[in-house]
Amino acid sequence: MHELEKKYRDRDVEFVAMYVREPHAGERGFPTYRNHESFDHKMEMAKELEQLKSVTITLGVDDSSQEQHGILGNLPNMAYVVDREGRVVYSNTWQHAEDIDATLAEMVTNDDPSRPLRPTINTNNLSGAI
Amino acid sequence: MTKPKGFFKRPPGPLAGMWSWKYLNVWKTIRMITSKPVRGLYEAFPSAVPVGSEFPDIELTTTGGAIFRSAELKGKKHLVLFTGAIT
Repeated sequence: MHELEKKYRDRDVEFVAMYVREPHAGERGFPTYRNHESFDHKMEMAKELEQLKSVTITLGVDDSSQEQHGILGNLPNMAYVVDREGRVVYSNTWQHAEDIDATLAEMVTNDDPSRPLRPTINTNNLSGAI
Repeated sequence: MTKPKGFFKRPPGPLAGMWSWKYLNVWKTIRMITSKPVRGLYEAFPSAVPVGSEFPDIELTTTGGAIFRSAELKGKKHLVLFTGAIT
């Protein structure tokens, strides 16, 4: 997503990461992480995520009732692409960077055909961060 | 991109995305993803906010303390919104 954000930042595309519930808190690789106990706890962990993964994209936190997350489908790794008219043009239960790249490339090329962009993201070459 | 510090590394090898299982409770995860409520979430996803529909006004508090409202981008910018967590 960082690669995509860099690619599209000057083409009027806003990237927002929504920090949601921890799906694997306390499991083998994450013994010290607990489920959120309050909004402050959730925000604290969002800030930790920001540091751990060097997140530079806007990182937003839902309230502790997860109302906004619920409206969007309540999944841990979903993605939406919305055009500037506020219409959903792409959604998926998983963040497929190649698909998002292809969707955005088409959108920004339609916005300004004099500055065409082609999909370039290949997830096999990425390091696997947020 | 800066490499994350203090975070787990992706193991080498052609594990086709299965590498993350090393960090999870495999049986708990299998039970979770095959459970009726979780399957129901995935099945309901396409109709939650379908492609072609109006995106709802989402309001989030950013880690910098600001309020992000998706409606404020209307008429100005495209939006890519995705969800994630540490684990």
